[in-house]
Amino acid sequence: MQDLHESWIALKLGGVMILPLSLLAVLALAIMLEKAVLYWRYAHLSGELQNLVETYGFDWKELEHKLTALNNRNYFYRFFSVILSNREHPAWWTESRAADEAQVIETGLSRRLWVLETIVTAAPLLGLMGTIGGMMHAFQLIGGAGLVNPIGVTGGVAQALIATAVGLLIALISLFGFNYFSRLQAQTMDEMERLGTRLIDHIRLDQQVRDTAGGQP
Amino acid sequence: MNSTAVFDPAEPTLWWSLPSGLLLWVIVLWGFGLSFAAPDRVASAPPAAIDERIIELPPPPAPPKLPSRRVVKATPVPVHATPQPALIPPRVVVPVAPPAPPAPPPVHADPAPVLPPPPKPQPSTDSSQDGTRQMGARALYQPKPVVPEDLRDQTMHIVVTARIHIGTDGNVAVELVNPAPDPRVNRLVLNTLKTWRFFPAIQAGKPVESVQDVKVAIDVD
Repeated sequence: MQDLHESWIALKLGGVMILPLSLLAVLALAIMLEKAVLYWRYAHLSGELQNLVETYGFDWKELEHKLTALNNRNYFYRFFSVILSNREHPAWWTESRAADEAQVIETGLSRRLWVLETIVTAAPLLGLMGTIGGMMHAFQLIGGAGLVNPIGVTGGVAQALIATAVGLLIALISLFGFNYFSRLQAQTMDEMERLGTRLIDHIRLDQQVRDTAGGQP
Repeated sequence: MNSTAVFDPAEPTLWWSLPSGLLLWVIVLWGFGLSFAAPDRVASAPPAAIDERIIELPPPPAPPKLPSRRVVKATPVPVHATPQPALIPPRVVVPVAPPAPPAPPPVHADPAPVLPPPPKPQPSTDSSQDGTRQMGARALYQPKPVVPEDLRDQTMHIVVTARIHIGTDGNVAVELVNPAPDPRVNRLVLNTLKTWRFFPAIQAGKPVESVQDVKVAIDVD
């Protein structure tokens, strides 16, 4: 309890800029938490399914069976389902639908990442605002009568430094989060594109085999 | 397999992620604040050696006796411009200030205990003209300033000169004649000197107001 009180006293020195900085920090942490859960639950592809798509002895029925084991909110489930439901259509049609679905999925994965990117830039700027405010307050105390309130001056400098430090801390956390989730998004989309291409290849192969078989007398 | 009913799992998740983010931020702030507060508790270094001396300045030299009563009236005005000459009874013939005693050697004291030095009785003088007995103010309680921890972390050798107005009841009013550059030191010296108590100066058997200048030296190595 004493520690909490000391923390509160130290943060009160940060001045009014701590409030918008805290708002940004909560937003950034919420977005990062949301993204972490999103990738963990809805963008995870099992190694078993991945191996199945990439093997030469590929079987569509087995793929359907393994897809039922996935959460129907999973992004890979959605993507593979689009290809599966259109596999009787010409390959160019299936490819086009799969590309559309991938674009929707990419939009979902990148949702609110722009907020994280904005916070990376805005948090240090808000901290700088706190610096300026604290310094102005500190130097206002040195008036024509000289230094009349030295404790006020040191308090203003502390306010400036704490606001800057908090702003930089938020920017650092957000920067790591933004880069990590951007990288994760790119990896997921690459994986999706690679597996989608493999499935389209299977569709083309199947159609070629059917055409060859149908052309024979 | 319906591809048109697009469900985006990122949509409805802010209801739990925002409170979680708030909780996380409170924890981060707590740790951050603790890192600011910690150095105060860790600072357990032994305090720096302090050398304090209190040097009482000799009272202002007595002006030469002049036969004219008009001139005698002017003598109560202290040499060091005390702004209350009218408070001293005009019938004083001999100046209030006793003859200057030799300056006492500086007293080296330990920083912790506050020991009132033995009162220094001012030499009493007898007026040769009308027999009125007069005696300077004597210090009864003279604590030395105790330098707080936050001032001990810097080296300083400061001498502050203060002027003490001693009332007829022994209470004092203090002003700094030669203050230190650090306002905290000035406040420390003022607060300490205000606690000093004196036996008032006696003149013609009655207590009168008087003025003393005191030099306080604070040395932190």
